[in-house]
Amino acid sequence: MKNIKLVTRIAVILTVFMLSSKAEAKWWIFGQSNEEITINYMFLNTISYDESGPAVTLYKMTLPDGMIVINGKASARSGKIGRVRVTTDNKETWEKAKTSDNGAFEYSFKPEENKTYTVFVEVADTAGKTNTVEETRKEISISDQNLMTSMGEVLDKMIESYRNKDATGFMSQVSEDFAGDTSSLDHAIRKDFSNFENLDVRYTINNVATGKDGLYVSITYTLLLTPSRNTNTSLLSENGITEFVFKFGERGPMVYSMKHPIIFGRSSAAEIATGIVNNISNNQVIIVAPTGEVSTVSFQDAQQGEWGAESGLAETAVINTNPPNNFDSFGFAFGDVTNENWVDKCAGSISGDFGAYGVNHHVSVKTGVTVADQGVMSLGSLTTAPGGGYVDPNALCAPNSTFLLQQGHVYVFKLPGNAYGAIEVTGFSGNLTTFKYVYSPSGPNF
Amino acid sequence: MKSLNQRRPTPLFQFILLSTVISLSPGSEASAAPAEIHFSDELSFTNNNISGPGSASSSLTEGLNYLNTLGVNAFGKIDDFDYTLNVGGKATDDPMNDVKHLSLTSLSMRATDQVHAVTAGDTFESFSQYSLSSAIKGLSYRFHNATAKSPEFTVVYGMAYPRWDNVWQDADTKSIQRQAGAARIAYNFTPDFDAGFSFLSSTDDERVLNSSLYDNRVYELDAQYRPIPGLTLKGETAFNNTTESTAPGTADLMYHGNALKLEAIGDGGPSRVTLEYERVTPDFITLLGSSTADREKFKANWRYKYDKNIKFKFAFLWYRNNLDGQLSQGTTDHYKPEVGVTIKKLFDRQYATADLGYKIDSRELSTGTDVDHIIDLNYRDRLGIVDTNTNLGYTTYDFPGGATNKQYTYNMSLSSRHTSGQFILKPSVYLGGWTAKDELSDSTDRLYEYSAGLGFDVPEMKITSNIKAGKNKLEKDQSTADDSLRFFANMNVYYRPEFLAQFNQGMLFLRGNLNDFNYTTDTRDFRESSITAGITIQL
Repeated sequence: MKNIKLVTRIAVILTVFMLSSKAEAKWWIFGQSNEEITINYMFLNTISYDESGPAVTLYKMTLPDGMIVINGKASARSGKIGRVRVTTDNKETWEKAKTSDNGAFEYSFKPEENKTYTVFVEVADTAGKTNTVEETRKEISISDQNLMTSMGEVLDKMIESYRNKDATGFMSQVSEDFAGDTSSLDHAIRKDFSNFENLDVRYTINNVATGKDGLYVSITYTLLLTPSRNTNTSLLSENGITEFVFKFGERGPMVYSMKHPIIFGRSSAAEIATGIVNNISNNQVIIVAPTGEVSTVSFQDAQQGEWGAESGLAETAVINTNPPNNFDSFGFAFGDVTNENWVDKCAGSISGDFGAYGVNHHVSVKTGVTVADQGVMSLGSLTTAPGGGYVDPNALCAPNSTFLLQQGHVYVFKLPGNAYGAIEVTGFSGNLTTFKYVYSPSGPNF
Repeated sequence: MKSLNQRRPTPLFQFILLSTVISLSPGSEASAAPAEIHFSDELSFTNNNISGPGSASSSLTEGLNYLNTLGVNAFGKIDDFDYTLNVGGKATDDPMNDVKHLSLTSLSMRATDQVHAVTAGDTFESFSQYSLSSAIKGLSYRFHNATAKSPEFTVVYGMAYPRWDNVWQDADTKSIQRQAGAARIAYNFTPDFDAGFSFLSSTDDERVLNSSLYDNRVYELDAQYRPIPGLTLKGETAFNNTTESTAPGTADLMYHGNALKLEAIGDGGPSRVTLEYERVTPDFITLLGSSTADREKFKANWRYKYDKNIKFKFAFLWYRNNLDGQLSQGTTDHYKPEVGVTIKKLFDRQYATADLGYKIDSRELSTGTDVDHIIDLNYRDRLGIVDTNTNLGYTTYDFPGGATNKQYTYNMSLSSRHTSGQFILKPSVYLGGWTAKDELSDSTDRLYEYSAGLGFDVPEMKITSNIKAGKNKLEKDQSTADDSLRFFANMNVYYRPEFLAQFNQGMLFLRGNLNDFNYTTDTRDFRESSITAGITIQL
């Protein structure tokens, strides 16, 4: 309700402002002006001509077929478009562009490296009236710089802004069409600035591939983060491989998409990454819980835990409940799984904190451990262990424990030494039981 | 691990290599223009030194290491075909740079006569964010006769690996073998209307580390229409059929999902307005695209240029998950409104620019609502010979459970540039701080940072250099947490001597870095320093 009011207030402010605008052109009548000749739209290769600023640097290797193409459409207030001319040498010479009866035009040329072209576009109707040519001025430079060096410079700028906690500087390297939404990325990196007091990235480029619409870059990285909210503020480091796609924008290559494991915006990784790198290594990665707590988990566990979004610190484990005459137990402190002997099911002498056995998933615990069933709920919404309601499943053995694991239920285990563990059973598949778990070594707060 | 002699490149790679050799070998009757070949190489040696009881926290590799990156670009023409060839490699003995000592960083050959275009090796075709927007190591062919106004047809096939070393499938660089093939056809029906269709098929092989294997098919359709001047309408829709094998012997999981995106972009006068709606179902899986499943989204942006010195920005983003009601924790709605204004020549000052922005990030979960507020002010100006850049920020973060964290950020940087004879001096100073008040723990953490730098250039001798030193201090309120103090310094020198002029921008460089970490707990203290010397040449 509060948000609906807020949104309504913003909408009202926008509406009032729009209606009271004093600007000359009526903003809602797109594209129309008082001029005789209008260029409705124009593109420099795939980049909007208007949006690309007065000077553009292009890389020869990224030009489709090695060509620069200027195309668009023009219209005349009265009459028809007669001709379109383009100059690339600051009006010294002009060349005709291909035109159609409906005002569409196209001009292409093959640029040389290390050369700057000063371009103007002149559109004339059949009566000889032209557009305001000066407004089409653009300097186009062709760089012969090695593409890896160029992409390195782009990444260096992003890392410098990230290291300096400069959100505006960082976002200036991001495309407006960013696949994970610019608002989400802006918020994610600001949360990184809040969650980590020191941030740094070191990298080398593994692979660069170019296409007519953009660039693909794969890097090997080392991410260095010092958590600011954790009690233990040790420097955390993570190694891995990640990928970027850059699209050509008004300021050169700009980030269009990032894949897990992302290096920028780790605090909201699930919100902004749009894919996962196909590089299987189970390195430890840094994840950030919604509470701001930072931890390291294996890459595969991070994937299953939605990179911290779904249930904060929750990891996932699988135990086997009915192999021949044996069953698995699980220990919260190290997340380890141990194979137990069937005869120990009610004896309290298992190695882990709890186990489950039989086709009905009877619960077994180590002596000193008790468990409380919280019913169907999400592990992510459990922030504190309950004060009571704990039972000893071993005391309910007749001959198997009547305390059973059920899918979708959350169970809280009270462990020796004021430690607590909690699990959410996510599925049964044959003899395998899958669950998410969290662990608090001291006290009931998760 | 297989030795170099035992490793056999895949047949695909052999084909690529053969194609490259054949394409660069002119036939007996072909007329070829002289090829242009460029080489670039950067070789550097780094010596890292780490000391202190907490040195295990350092990410540097102690000792002397090298890194070399080599690039070869060739251009030429044979008959009507223009061709380019790019090969790049990296060599290093520092595992932080790469797990491999030697690796291929790029390999691609492209030949085109403006109608046909063939690319072998690294190919990057961006059909659609829902089907293909990732690089493939293989082969692509594109046909487009612009003169005859033919449709544009592109087909690509290869392996989706993030690096060339995945082709060899060594233990260090093992990955799922993902074979992919895709095709796209696009046509400009009129100058104002174009449409396209793409299809992607990928198949996984060789399970690695209990990973899932996928068979994925994606069908995509898109169109773009400009009904009136300044207005562009875009639409895109996709469907997928995906099979996932989670473990050997288990039943496969099947996914059939869809994605839809509609956009309207209005451009005219002082305004640019963008409206976007997107819906991607939870079962829409795209392995080589760039989209987020289980998301419904609406986005609106309005950029308004009030006059040449004042620009406004209004934006609103809403998105939610749990489209099929499949999540046990329920739906999370995100609302992100934003307003901002940029004012140039503020107070009639020629170089003054101010940016003011206010953003809200509201998350409605089944357990409650969390709202973050972000206010930013940036002011840039020139005071005499000094450029200034000042930032002030206030943020409140809501955390699950009712905790709120209030943060203040403040920093200012001053820089200048002076020419004195043949020297150019660029001094700079940075002062900044960050305060975070956590209401739940009733604690306030403070971070301060200050640094001074000096750039020193001698253009006649082609020398550029920079040195910077500073301190970063964190004061934690909680008695159980460590305070930290970091002293840092870095230095860069670049020199283009005459004897390297023949190597077209040849350059020598020297870089130094020092970080000295000190904590309340002495056993965590450590210091790391590194010196890098190198050379860059281009031919």
